[in-house]
Amino acid sequence: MGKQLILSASISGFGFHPGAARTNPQRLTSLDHYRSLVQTAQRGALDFVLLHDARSLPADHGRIDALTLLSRLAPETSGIGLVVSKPTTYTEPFTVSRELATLDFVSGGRAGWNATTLNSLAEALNYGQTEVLPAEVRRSIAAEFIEVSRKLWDSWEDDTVIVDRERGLYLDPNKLHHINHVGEHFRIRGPQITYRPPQGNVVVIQVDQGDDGEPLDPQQADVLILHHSDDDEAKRAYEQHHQQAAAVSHELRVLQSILLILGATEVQAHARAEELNAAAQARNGHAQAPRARILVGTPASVAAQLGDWFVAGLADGFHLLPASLPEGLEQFVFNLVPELQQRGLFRTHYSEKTLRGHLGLSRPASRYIGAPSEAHTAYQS
Amino acid sequence: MARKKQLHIGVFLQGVGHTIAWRHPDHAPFTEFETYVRFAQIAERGLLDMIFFGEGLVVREHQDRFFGQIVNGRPDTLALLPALAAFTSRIGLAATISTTYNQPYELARQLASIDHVSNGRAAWNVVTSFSNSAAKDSGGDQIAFNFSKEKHLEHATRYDRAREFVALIKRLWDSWEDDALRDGQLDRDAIHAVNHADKWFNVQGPLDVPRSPQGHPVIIQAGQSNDGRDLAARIADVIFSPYRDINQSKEHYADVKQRMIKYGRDPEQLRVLPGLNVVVAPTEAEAQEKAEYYRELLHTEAIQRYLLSEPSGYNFANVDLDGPFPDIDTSDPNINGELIERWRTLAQANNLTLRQVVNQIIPRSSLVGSPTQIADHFATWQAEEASDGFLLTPTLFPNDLEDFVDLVVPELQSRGLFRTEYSGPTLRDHFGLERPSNTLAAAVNE
Repeated sequence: MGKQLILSASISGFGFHPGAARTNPQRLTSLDHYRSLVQTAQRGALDFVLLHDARSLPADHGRIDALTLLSRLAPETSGIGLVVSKPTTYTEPFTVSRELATLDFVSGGRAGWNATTLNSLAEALNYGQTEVLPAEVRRSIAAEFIEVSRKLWDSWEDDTVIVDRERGLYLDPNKLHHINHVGEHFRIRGPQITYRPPQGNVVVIQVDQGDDGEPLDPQQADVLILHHSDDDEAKRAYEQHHQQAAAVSHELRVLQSILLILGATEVQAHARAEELNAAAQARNGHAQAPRARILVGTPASVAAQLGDWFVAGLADGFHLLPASLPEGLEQFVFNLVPELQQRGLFRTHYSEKTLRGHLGLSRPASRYIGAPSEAHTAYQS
Repeated sequence: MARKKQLHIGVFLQGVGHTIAWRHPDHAPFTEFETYVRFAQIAERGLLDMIFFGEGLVVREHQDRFFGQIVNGRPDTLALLPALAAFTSRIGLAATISTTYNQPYELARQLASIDHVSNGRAAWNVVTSFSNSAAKDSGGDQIAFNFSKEKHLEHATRYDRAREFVALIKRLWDSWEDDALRDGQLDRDAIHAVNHADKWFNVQGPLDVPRSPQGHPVIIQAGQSNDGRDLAARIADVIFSPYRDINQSKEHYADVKQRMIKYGRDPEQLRVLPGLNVVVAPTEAEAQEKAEYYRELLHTEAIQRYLLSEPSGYNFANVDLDGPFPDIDTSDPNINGELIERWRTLAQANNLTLRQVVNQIIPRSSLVGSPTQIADHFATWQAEEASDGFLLTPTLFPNDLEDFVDLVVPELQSRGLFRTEYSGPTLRDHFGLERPSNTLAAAVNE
């Protein structure tokens, strides 16, 4: 079997095309809607779904907290990676890293974290701030936040809990570690109070959404989701990011965002594209493009294009921003994925159990193994 | 015949640092998700009102040493409860969350979301800090060190913040009218900003999550100081109390209900549930034997030394347990002098060795007996208005919970004191609590 693509998809609101129908907002706050979408993605054996989230009320729909939804759906799924958007702005690393470790725990190692920053005034006003933090400050907080989270995940070594009834030791204190983190934004002593996540570290994902406050750091993220509208630019970025990651022996996967408009024929696909653009014009007075490479065509022609880009070394895989939901995701899974499978570019079923397994990322060892621990068996009889 | 007043029963699983009987061969592993699923399913099989998770924000240690002899580590409750909702359909799901280290907007949307995905089964136990102990090193400032803070907030300050936090979070839950989503549209006129600006918080709102099935998730409170009782009387739907003595509990029960009247609340809209450790077996003799076995499992010498050292701040690692109470310099700021003096007085007045002192202070099973005896206790406390039921605190999981469900629940049911099926889908239905009206919308629309 040849090298395999990574395929994933975002879930957010009505979809990503500005012309997507914005009808029936009730469904966006119903569990059934998300269950159906996650199950669709799993039928396509996608690597992961990424559930977007924010912290203020949109104009025409409400939300359910993304972490709550994914934890609720974890027991009903197996295989599909569950990536949650969780902000690093106005929140505590101790709390967020623990929540993510627990999503990994309840999903048997399928959790990922889209580490975001909050960049709107409406969100700032919900967290006691009167203005948005500057982009460089948000980026700097996010970078340190991720670093602290990784330390906290490592602060319990694997198998810290030993349940040694003979010696009367529930856990091995030498495998617990204070992280003693002192940085520009956080001072955290640790250890975390929950076990190391099944994946060792939850998969950290960063998405280029056109905001300078979001870090896109190849040495820190496990997966980068980028947007380039030009092939040469995409290839340059891909190679550069991989070099930077390799320089510190860090494994990295680079995906390109795509938005697909599919039709049974080229004519039908283009007619659908016209329809979406007209709807966007009518609603907004313009058709502002989403941050994704837009491909219009038949499943066969689009699959051929993606295959070419993959072979040419533009990306390790592709991340779908569905034009509309649920249709965009359904067409991707039921029409395009089979084309890629026939070409031998994508799995037909999950062969691994964890998100790291799907992505071909190794499970990291705790950074604290062998580190002198301040802890020892106090009061040992 | 009028239906008898019904008991309410929850089951509590502590946060980190508990001396639960983990050395028992049947003890279920807390490192496996399936254990929590079993916990929820057994409780639901017994038709209990709710499962209730404690909180811990620091791994138990003493003088920079981790303590390996007790159960430590617990998944995050807010991330765990939705997954447990997938395996259950009726049991209430309660999380203990501190107001000290969380943001109201963030917590409001998480709790409302859990209420949505569980069809109205969420509850929040409002705490101001983790530590139940007066100890100086039992976690107070160590918790602060996990949140980029130098020190824990002072007691009165914590309650002041908690009061404002809860009032604000209820307004956020009310920021959507119940029918803001209807006829395929979002009615923005039925969604209101909260515009909260006070001493601790500035939050504009509205929440981005619709009003949840229960209106407000059930609010639980456990504070017992004057400030704590006052807060409970203002905000709580359920009180988790520590009283083991029926007269103390009666005094508390009457006091909080009186305080509710002062705050314009209906005293019927409150359930008081003392924590209770039950060891039950088909006969009293078997129950006593089991309780004795638990004591032996728990009381290794290491744990005895821990139970002296952890709350007092003094290191008892090398003290002779069969000797007299040692000389301890209580001027050391890391030592809880008041506690040491209390133990010293106990030892000297009764001529006790240190081992005998620890036997006096260790947590013990508070109710041991046959199903009939346990049911009598429940009935008496309810009849005398000492409580509306209890929160069970099992020593051995899952055995103690299974025994309660299999032996005591049928006994209570046969006396007409406990439900034989859930009467409604939500936790408020189980407790017989009204769904709160939307006061923010009422004020805005006036």
